[in-house]
Amino acid sequence: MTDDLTGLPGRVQAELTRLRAERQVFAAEQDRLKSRLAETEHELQTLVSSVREQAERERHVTELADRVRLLETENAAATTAAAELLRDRDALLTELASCREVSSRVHALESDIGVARRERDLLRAELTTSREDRDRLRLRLLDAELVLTSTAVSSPVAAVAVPAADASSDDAELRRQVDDLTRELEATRRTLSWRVTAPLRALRRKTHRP
Amino acid sequence: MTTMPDVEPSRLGGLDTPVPDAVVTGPVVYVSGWALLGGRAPSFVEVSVEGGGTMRARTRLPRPDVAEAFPDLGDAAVSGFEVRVPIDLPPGEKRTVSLWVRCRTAGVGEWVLPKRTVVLNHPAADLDDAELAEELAADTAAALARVEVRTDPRHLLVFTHSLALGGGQLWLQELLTGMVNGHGWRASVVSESDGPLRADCAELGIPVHVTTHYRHSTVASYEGHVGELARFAKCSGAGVALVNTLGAFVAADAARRADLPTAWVIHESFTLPDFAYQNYGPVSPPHAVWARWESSLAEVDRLLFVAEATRELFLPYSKPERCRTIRYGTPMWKFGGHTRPEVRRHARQSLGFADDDTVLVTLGVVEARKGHGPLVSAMERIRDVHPRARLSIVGLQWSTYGRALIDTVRRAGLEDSVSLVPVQRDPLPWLQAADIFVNSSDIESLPRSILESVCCGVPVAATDVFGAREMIVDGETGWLFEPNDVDALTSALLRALDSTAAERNGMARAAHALLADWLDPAGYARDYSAVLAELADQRCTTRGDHVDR
Repeated sequence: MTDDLTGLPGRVQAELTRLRAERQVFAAEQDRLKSRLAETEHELQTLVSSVREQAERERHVTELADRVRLLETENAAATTAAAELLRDRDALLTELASCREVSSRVHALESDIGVARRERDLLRAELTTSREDRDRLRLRLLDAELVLTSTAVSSPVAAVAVPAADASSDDAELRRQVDDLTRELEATRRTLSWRVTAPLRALRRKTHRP
Repeated sequence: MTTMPDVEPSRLGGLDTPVPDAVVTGPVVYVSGWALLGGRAPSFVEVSVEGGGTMRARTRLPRPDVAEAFPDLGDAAVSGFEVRVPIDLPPGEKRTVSLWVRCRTAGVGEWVLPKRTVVLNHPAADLDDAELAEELAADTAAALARVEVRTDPRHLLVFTHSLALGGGQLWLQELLTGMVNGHGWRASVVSESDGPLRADCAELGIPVHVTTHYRHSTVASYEGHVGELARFAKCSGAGVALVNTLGAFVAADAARRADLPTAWVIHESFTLPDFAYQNYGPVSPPHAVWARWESSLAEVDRLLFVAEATRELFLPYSKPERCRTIRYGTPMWKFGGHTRPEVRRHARQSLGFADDDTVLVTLGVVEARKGHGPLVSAMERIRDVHPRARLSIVGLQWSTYGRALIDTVRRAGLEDSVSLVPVQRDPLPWLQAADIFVNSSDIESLPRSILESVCCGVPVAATDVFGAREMIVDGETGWLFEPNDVDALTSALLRALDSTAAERNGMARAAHALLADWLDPAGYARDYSAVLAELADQRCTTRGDHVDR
């Protein structure tokens, strides 16, 4: 089609001119609508994006709320646990103090036991010495008894036949031995071991033990 | 051959070991020799070694060589003495020490033999041994980790040394009988050697596994045997282990490695060095094995002892709460500390004793540590003042010591006063006939024969050693005397023989009253059952196992 309307009837030319003007109006309207559509699409996209962001935010907020609730629960539990721990710690500290006290008592007792054992060993050594003294005396007495026995077991005839001087000599020997034993006994009583064991003997006398 | 020193005739003797300036290997000095004072064996010999203190020697030991050299001196045949003196000498150290020997006899005199110097050399630990021990132990641990077994907390695995007839073995048999029949335990036994008690085990439904003697002379053999026993222990299904005797440290270690709660019963009152020297020699077991021995003592759940004195001896190796004393009883508790007059009369008649005899009895296999030689010497000294005293030594065996004892009795003309009776399966008649029981051992933990005497109402004269002093109060419930001293033994016999029958009866009653609480063997089994059940239950709780009751 051409813009040259010459040669066309007037009425047709007028109609064509009017139609051209309408077309221009419509084209402008179309452009405007396209522009509006583009704007609207953009707005829509923005809105969708905003809605999505909002939904995301809301989900996040929900999650945060859940976490907060969880944390609050945990916090409550932790607070309870902390309180329990504090109580436990206090109990443990008390127990520890008690253990330390017991431990120090145990150490003291162990030390006492060590001292007691050393004292016991010393007393045993003293006892051994005392026993040796006692045994020595008893064996001297045995020797004296053996002298007596050997005199006694001699035949009656031999006993009768012993001269008076010999008999008195035996008596003198026995007296000497008895004197020796008495001195030995006194010496023993003066020894440290005899003095150390004196309380034991006194205790025995008091309790009427043999 | 014994060398004869140049000394005055009333003082004869010499040291055989250690020789002058000898190099002694290990931490124990073994001193032996002979001595005669006034022509007789001395009553007492003590040996002092620098760094090891002073110890009494065992005397009246057979010396046929001295008898040959001095045929006119009767005691020459038993003039020997010996003692082991442990020295605190760390491995790898060498030290020169002096030693002295002092002899004495009351009324005769005292003699100190010339001082002697020796060098002690305690070999250093072999580092390769320690490394090998760790490596082999790791292999065993890896092998055991592959085994998963369901255990029964009422199943007891017992490690013992022998199933022959003997004090320690019979003790275990009695205990197992009580625990199986009286406390519902199931048991399995592992023994180093077989013997007649296997039949007794079979009667109780106890399976027996006989292994070899414990191997510990090298690290490899030790770890090998521990590994074998640990595998056996783990596969046995037992919930708890009981290890018998100090020498069973291989078994104790094996039970630990099998992760079994373990109680270890120690009857022996010897220090570890002394025990090792007597049983394994001067430098065995090797240091790495020795370390395992000590760590087993430290780490087993319970160390059980028969006497408080023995517990005290081993306390340094463990902790007080792990160490416990459980004294044993005897089936003779049923006699109640009394022998009926008609039973006594019958026993005396059947054994050939007259009514007016004062009968002394000692029970136990004749051997040097039982002090039978000194006892015979003491009888020789008192026979003229107590001519009706009759001593029966029940337990004669045909050993060198036994033959020397027979010769001593014959030589002293004591056949009427001292009778040597072979080992008796049932020695009860001798206890029923006895007026006085004598225990002259120089080392004992808890002599069963003393308990039996107390049960039969016989007063006891005993050496003041370890458990004996826990049973007898000197002068109140019996008579105690110092060990390895013939003078002390003679004096004790005199004190006992000087007492009237009424006084002796009073002593016997007092002794029974003192011990009555633990004479019943049922109590012994009950205590063991409680200890072992506690250990088994603790382990179950630790593992989270369910415990059926």
